[in-house]
Amino acid sequence: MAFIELKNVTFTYPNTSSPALDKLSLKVNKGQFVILFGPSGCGKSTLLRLLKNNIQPHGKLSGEIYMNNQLLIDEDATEREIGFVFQDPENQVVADDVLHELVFGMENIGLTANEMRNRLAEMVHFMGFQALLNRKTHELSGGQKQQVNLASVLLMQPNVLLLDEPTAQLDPVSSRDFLSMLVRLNEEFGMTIIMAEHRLEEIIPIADKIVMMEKGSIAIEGSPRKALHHIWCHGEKAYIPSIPSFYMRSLKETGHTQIPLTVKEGRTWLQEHKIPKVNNELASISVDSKEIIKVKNVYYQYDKKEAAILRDMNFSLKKGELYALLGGNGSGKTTFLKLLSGIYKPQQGSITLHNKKMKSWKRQDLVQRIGYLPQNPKLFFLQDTLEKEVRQTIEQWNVSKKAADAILYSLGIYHLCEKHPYDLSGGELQKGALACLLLRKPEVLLLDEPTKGLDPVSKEKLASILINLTKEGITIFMTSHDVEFVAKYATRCGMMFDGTISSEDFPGKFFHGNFFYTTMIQRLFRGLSNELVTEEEAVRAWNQKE
Amino acid sequence: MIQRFDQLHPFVSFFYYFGAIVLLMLLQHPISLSFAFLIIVSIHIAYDKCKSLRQWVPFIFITGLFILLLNPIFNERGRHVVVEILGHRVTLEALVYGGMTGLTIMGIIALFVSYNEVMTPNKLLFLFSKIMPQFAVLLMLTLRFIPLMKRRLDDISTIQQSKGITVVEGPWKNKVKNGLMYVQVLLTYSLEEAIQTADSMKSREYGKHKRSSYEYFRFRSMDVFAIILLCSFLVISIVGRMNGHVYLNVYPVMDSMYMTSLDMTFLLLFCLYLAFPILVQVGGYIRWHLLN
Amino acid sequence: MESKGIIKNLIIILLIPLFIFLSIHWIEHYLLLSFGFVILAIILFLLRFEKKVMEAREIVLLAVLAAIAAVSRIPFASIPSVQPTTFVIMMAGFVFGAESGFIIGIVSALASNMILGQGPWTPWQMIAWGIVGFSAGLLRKRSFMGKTWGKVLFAIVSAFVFGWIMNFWGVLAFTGSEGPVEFQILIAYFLGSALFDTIHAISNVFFLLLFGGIWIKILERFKTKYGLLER
Repeated sequence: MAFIELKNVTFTYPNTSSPALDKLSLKVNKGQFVILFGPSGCGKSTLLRLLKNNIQPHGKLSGEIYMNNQLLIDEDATEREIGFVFQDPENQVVADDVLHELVFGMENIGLTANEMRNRLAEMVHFMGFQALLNRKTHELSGGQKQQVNLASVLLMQPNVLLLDEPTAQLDPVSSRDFLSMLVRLNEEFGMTIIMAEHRLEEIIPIADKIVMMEKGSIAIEGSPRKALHHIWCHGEKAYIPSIPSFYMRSLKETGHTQIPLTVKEGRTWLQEHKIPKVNNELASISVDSKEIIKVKNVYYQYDKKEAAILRDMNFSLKKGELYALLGGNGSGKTTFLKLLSGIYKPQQGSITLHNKKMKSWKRQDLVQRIGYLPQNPKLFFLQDTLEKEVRQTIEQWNVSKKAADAILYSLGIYHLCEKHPYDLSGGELQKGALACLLLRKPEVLLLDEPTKGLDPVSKEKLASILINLTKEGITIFMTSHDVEFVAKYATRCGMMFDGTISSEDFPGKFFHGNFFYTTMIQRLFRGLSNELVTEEEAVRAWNQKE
Repeated sequence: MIQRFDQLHPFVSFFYYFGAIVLLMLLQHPISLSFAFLIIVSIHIAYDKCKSLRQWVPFIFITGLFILLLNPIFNERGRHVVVEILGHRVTLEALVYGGMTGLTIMGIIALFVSYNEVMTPNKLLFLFSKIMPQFAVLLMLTLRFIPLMKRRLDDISTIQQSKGITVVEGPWKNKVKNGLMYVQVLLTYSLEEAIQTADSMKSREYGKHKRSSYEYFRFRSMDVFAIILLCSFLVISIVGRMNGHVYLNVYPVMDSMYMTSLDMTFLLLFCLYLAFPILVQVGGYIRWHLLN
Repeated sequence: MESKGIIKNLIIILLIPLFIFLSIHWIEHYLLLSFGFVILAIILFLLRFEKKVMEAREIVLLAVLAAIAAVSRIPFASIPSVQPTTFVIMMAGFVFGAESGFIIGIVSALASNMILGQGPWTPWQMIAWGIVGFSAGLLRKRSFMGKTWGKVLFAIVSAFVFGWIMNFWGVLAFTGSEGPVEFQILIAYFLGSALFDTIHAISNVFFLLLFGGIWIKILERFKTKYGLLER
């Protein structure tokens, strides 16, 4: 019998008509690495929470859940065997310093001081935490916090690890570190891992089983290759990472055994074929040379004692473009965004909007022209329904109700008006905030990491919205970690490094020179056909070959 | 490593500060209070060359001076008139009394400055976790949330400013209203998010078993010795005070400031108690040099 | 473990008569006495809090409210004498009851002082905000508190009570550790603080009238959402 088994599980939250899980059955063997994915609201989190009985949600549950051949009911029998890591790194932290945080779980189960010290010593060694031990938790980066959370759970020595989108809020580098930790736990210690995750790119090679969920039940499950092929034929293609997707697009009729999952496998396959050197007509997008915002020799620092975060920054934003700013954590991307919005003022240098210094603009006019969509749109809303928020914006900016409704319709969120903003999904929330911004008819939109935490389908929707907006003449500036998204949709991108923009070009040119900071497709084709950056381009090149 | 006062067990440090404040309030004599103030300043010199005390110097002296002057202004009691200004008698008693009060407050504030350096939140939390584990968890969570809330407020104010809702310009009423609007967003958002914090605690089995506590600090023989020493000095000083030693009666009739030899002995004990942090450090220093 | 508990209880049992004895002996020692009284009151309350076993959600809720009360003054840095801490604590006590109100007041003052630096005013601030939260919780079921004028009155009174408790410590510090509390000093001190207390009261009322309703609604919503603190 399987290690964990769900039989016909149906779960309904109170006050809802349709069940969150609908007659779901799933088997997980000991030592397996299982990945759950699917659109938000498909029941991934509910499923995970049902497996951990002291955080089981309230509601009506039918069907049976077995673990280790024992029925999982709300008794203590199995609970210490299961560790749970949540999505948001910040919210799980309970202590103000790392040491307290690590021992919190052990204290709760009443271990002796000696036992705690032994386990802690081991864990600190395993995770390489020596330097973090006496730090304050609020000084850690998101990635470090998530690792501390994981460690605190591991110190209770579980056999099964459940993770609910643990890397959704992390940047690519930290999420890779985090995932590699999970791989070690799975491979070196045989830990059973069940994880919900949107981004399959990096984890698919290591998974034993992937499970695609839809509306509370399992749509497709199986080994990665088999399941991918299945999705390709019947499911939502947006979930398929670019390399397997490219493979399946180019070889239309094929079985699943050969699907390459990693760059390495992909390159082995490509060696056998000759890809013509294509001359990708690099970004012949006609950019209006009119500069909207111009930044000249700007310096900015938060504190006199600290080093300047922006140094001698020069930049110009041209009308109608979709500019994406990439760069590592803490490189100053967000700071720069806030300078562009006029909230922060540079200590040296000047920022002009339409050749008029930001300082000399009236605040009201500046706010009207520049819209800022924050990374966390929840903090955008002051009212308790979307409708009230829109109404307040209408009053503030004197727009007609009709125009507002039109915008809500075009974004596809009109039916959500009565909802509390916090009850919306990440994508819906973002559109809600975007609607309020668009009401004041801004010329420039500043977006801070707009793709963070979105599932692939919402990401594509966002892209089409952004492209439409640029067609309407709105200029968009965004910061991002999402290389694939930027390569596909931006018209120009820049790299933030050491307080200034170190390189800047059209995506095609920008990425093909990069070695690490580039798309999967570019890595696949490096040395074979350097100009290929996105999947579309690769497919086009492949078809030329035929 | 040279032994220092702040390396002792938190309970010892806490006990020291507690006793020191009680004694400062009890032993009201100009001589003892002057000594006390000097000793407390020396503690600061020994600890960090007065780095932390420096920014408090103006506050401490202004407060002291203020109290010294305030008492004679409001108080005409006492027999020895020093000077009469506009029909207001300034008495020696009032001056002495004001001086003593001023010195007490100055000493207490300076002690608190040192307390804040030595008793880090960590140590206090540790003490609480020993006697009141549940309250310690609450306090720990609060201390963890405060920096988080600060950052969230920062984010909120940036975002709302970008929407044109600010607390920096506009009429008073709007500023106050917008300010609380920020706090309201913080409230709703944080309460919403904190459910996850509670879940993360529950998934780590909080509240299911009897909680133990990690030993961040160990009670060593040095600490036992220190606590016995401090305790006996404190009790003897209090007993001395109960018998009227090291205490100057000001009202209704001021005693003479003369100190008997018994008074002197108690004064010495009091000074030794206060100077304990310095003694620890000097002891450590000597031992270090003997060993090397 | 058991012996530890007994020692703890013994210390507390001994502490009280010791304190009573000392207070009779030095009945004129106002400064020391008042400190002892305030600290003892806080300790006794905390021991009571310790007895009640709390769920994770309850304790997190208290911590969130205490932390918000502590940081809520930040947006008002540019507006002198206006801070909503009292308002936040008042609302918390009003919705979650006397004990929760008291503990939120205490923890909020203690934690913010642990970060900003403790002073002799710490226990006074703890008890002052504690009392605001406690009385808001105590009176919440009274009919007058259901009406706007009742709440307004409460907001005004609590601003002044808070101010007076803080003054009390100030007056004691200024008049010395024993000596008679001079009536004139008292008057002068209270007059001096009256301006600040009035601004405090006005801003309390302002917050209450503009935000009271919606805050109660928000907190009530979370009270049911957390399903807690009903006892």
